[in-house]
Amino acid sequence: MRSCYNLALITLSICIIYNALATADAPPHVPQYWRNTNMVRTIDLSSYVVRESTAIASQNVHTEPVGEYYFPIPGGLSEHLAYIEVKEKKTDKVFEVEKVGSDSVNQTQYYKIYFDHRIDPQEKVLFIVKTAYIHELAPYPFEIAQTGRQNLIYRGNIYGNSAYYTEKQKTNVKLPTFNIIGYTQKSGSVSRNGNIITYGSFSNQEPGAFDELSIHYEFQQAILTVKGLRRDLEISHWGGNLAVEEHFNLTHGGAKLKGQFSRLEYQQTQYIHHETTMARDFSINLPAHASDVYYRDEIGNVSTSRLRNERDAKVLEFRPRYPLFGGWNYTWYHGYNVPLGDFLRYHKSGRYILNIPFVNPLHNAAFDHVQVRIILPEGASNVKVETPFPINKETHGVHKTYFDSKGRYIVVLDKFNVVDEHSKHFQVSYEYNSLELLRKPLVATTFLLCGFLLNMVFSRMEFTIGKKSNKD
Amino acid sequence: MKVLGLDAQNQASLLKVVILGLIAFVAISSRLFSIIRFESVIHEFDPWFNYRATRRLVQTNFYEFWNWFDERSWYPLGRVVGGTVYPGLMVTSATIHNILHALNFPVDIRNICVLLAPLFSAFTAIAAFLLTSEIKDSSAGLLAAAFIGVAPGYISRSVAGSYDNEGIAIFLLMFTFYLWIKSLKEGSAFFGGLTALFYFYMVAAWGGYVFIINLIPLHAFALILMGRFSTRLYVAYSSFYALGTLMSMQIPFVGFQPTRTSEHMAALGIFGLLQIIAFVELVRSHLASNQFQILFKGFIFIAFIAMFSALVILTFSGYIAPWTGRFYSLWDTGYAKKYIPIIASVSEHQPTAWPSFFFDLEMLIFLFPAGIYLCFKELRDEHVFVILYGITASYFAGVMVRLMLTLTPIVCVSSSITISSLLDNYLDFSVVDPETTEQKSVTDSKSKPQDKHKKPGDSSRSAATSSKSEKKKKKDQFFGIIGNDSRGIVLLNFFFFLVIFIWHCTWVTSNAYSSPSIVLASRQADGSQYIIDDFREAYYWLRKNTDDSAKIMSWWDYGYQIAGMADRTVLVDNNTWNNTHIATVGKAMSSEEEVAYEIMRRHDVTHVLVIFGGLLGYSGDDINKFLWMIRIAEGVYPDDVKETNFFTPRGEYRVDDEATPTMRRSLMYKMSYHNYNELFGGQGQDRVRGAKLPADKIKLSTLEEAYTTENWIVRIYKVKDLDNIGRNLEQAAAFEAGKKSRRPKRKQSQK
Repeated sequence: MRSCYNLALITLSICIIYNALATADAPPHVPQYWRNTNMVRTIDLSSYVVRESTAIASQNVHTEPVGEYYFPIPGGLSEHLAYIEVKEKKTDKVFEVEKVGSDSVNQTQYYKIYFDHRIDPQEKVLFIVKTAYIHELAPYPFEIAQTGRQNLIYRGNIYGNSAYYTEKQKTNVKLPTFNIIGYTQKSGSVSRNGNIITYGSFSNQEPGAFDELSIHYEFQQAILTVKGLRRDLEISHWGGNLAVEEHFNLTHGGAKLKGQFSRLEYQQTQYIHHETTMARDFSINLPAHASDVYYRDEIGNVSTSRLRNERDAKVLEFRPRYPLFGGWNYTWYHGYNVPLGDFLRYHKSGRYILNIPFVNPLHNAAFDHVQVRIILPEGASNVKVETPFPINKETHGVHKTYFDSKGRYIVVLDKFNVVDEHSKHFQVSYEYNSLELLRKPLVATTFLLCGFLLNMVFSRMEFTIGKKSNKD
Repeated sequence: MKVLGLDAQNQASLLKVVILGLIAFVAISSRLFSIIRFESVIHEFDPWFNYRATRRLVQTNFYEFWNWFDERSWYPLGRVVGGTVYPGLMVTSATIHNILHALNFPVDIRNICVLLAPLFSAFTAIAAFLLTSEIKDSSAGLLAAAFIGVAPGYISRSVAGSYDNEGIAIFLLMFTFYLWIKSLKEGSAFFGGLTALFYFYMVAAWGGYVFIINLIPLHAFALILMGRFSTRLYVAYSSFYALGTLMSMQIPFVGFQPTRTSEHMAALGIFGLLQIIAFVELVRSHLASNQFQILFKGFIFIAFIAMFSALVILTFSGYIAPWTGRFYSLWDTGYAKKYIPIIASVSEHQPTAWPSFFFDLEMLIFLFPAGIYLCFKELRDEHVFVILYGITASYFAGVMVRLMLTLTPIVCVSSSITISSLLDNYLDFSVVDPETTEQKSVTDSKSKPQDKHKKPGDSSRSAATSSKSEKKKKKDQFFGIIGNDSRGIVLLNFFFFLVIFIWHCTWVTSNAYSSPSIVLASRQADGSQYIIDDFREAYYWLRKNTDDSAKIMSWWDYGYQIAGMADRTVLVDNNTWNNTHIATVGKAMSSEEEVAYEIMRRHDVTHVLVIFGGLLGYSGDDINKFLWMIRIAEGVYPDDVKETNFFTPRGEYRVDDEATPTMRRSLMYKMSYHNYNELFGGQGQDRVRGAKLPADKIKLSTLEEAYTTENWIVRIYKVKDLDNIGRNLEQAAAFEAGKKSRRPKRKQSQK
């Protein structure tokens, strides 16, 4: 079952990569083959990553079977788009999505959805588009006191994004709190139920309908933005070991701290720390067999960390050197070793396949840029990378480290806008000859042998000009 | 007897190599306490600069480093690093780093820096072995190597992480001396040249090279006075001095000092003297003796007068710099306190307390005189050297704690001679039977392998040794130890002493010298280790959360650490080259807020950092150092800062209710205790000085607290900008406070 899923992912990702290469920037012409009969959009604001899921029921109004559907994302938003996935509603079957270019007049970025089969005329298709955006929420006011409450503003479209005529639609906004300071009033078509605000239903909307939606609400959580994450995965066949090291560059992106930090107040208000936006305790799940865990930063070891064993994972709980308030930065890196067998398999075709999550999510955090470096053993060749989602950049190179002679094969994957949904497994496969295992000892031995030989030759030579004094 | 197919001589050399290897291993491993207990981190203060400079050298290249103008220290003056630094240490680690990287060993430069001193301590052990082998024999050499490997006096400056010049300098010192003895014994220009080369390395590495350039001439002079002038001495000294001086002048920080300062004049004088004597010897070999006597006396007299007057004239005309203050403080321990408080304020420049001799050297300090005595008994050229080194170094070690470091090697050498002689006598089983004494002792002296090794090439000296051993043999016949019980008692005793020595050394190393000082360790209630990491907390906060161009004002002790760990510009640092600048900072710290504010504005200060130990009882804090700040400030600004104003009428230095008004109004006092009373909900308790603070609230109007660490050890304040509507900041603060008080109570506590 799982392998089936993986296989599907692999095929999907191949298609996506292929398609990403073929992306054209010209605005596509959207033929009006579809008519949305119903559309329910849910905006989930419960975390800093805004997750939208749009359930669309659409009918083919063309005369021929159609297999493609255009999904628009407003221009400003598309830069912050981290994730997009389309599934058939009933079967959970994943449809391919392709970025096809933007319309600069309407400032809209189009995504093309390929159904698994062509839909006959007058047939309906039910599917869900899931998207996730980062940096869509802005704190307001910009500055708050040390124990102040943080409020965020969400701005967006009241209607669902659609490139087609929509008969009926509504928008639900799910908020993390009951403390809503204000939200766009739309006479007659807005209702609030606790922390859920519903707009609609609206009927008969033209394509690209837009009306501003803004919600001002309380958000008492830290907003963590990882400006850069570098993951190093180093495979060693010698030690049967996979060494993982993750370098974080973190910023607290919430409302900035007003004035300066007062330790006195900090100590006096300890009992309400959990209610403030201050970030102090972090935890990261590590594989169950992780060992030799360390947690350091640029100036050395940080002693405030703890490793906890859970049933199927180890949890690294750590504190930065100082609590993080809005606008404060912190960088650190941590690393661990895991047995290679947990992630690497030998496939009958003679290839080794590394299967490992792309990112290891940090609670509440969104990543602006993630770089994954896979350092393969010396002598690995014919390397292929397969990811379940498009990657912004893939580079291959040579990396030299201890006891290397010709250097190791390194693959560097770069991706911007990464969220928890990206913690899916990706695969790196390569060929590796077991004889390569002997390379290191041979090189080291040859080196030492040369040293001894040189010494032998050198000690047999005489450099004195005159007669050597008789010393024996 | 053959073991492993080797004859006795090869067995001995194999053993020697193995033992030396083990000693090197012990020397390195006993210095790793701090890495095992804490982490691989650079210690203390000065090493942070060395580390920062090394990193820069590794990142750029040598010429970049040579021309490095460090604009991030001594703001706004900056510092020409290339010209004011001994680059030997940095170049050594950078070379190791580059070699390793060329061989695909990507070792982090920090780890190289951390482990450099332990590595060189292993080399020092080998150098001590070589030196002592030249002086006595290789068994004494092994003892010396073992002693220097673990002697706390040397470990104190060479534990892992203590990345300072002394770490490699002691090796260079020992090795230069070894080469000097070697070249003197053999009269070899080759070894003289090598001596010069290592002297050059030493000059590049440590200011203590002055010790070499005075001790070797002193040795030469003593030999001349003893009538031991020889062509060997002439060749060795001339080749060493000429080459060494030329090379040493290549270091920009040294430059023309070897020809212009008084510290180097003795070496030049001896060089001249040797030329004269050599010339005289030449003349003597061509003249009749009575003519020669007249000529000789006249010549010596004139030459001496001429040289001395030249020296005096040159000194007074300013061409030769007179002795520096640091030099005077070597002769008069009260000098620095009176005239250069900045030198006196450093704890390692204080005179040594006598228990620290025992603490650092344990039984060696008692064996040391015995070794000197044994040297007197033999008194070959190299023994004169040991005696001179021993006497001068003992004096200097008594004057300054820091110079214990130069004493330690010679104490190890000298005590190893003592113990080795003792063991030679008590383990010489060839004299067990009084009847067979005579014949055995003859065979014994021949069969001793080390005797053969130490035989030098020079025929005259080997003749001297053989006559000595002849004498020794005769003595052995009368004073040889015969009874096994007396052997047993003495040997067991000394075995016991040696064990205790190692025990003591390890204990001292582990307890006294292995703390990185930037990290403090304490125990939690359940006995687990709790790391107090306030310094790095504050420095990292500065590094990540202040503007890159922030200027940090702090007392100079923390300058290197801030530059190294926080990567921010500092006003003053541990390279105390500009007393006025330091005094300005001292004045800002000890003045009232308004005065201080003006100074800070003038120097573009954005943040002020103080160390406050009151909460935790950390005694090395700024309030305890405050008197030095006041003294140094008073030295430059006698009208503005007065030390007496900080003492109560009864002459006490207090921070509690009885603290003087000047004290209470000083910036340092305010910054240290700001908000501290409130933490206790009334009157704060200062745990370092055991004082209860005055109850009134401390108001700061020109600064605001920016960050305070978990245990309040480091407190960082931000300097406020000028007021928007042109009030002075005190008025503005008063106005703010007035406005605040009308607000509800809850809000007030937030501010």
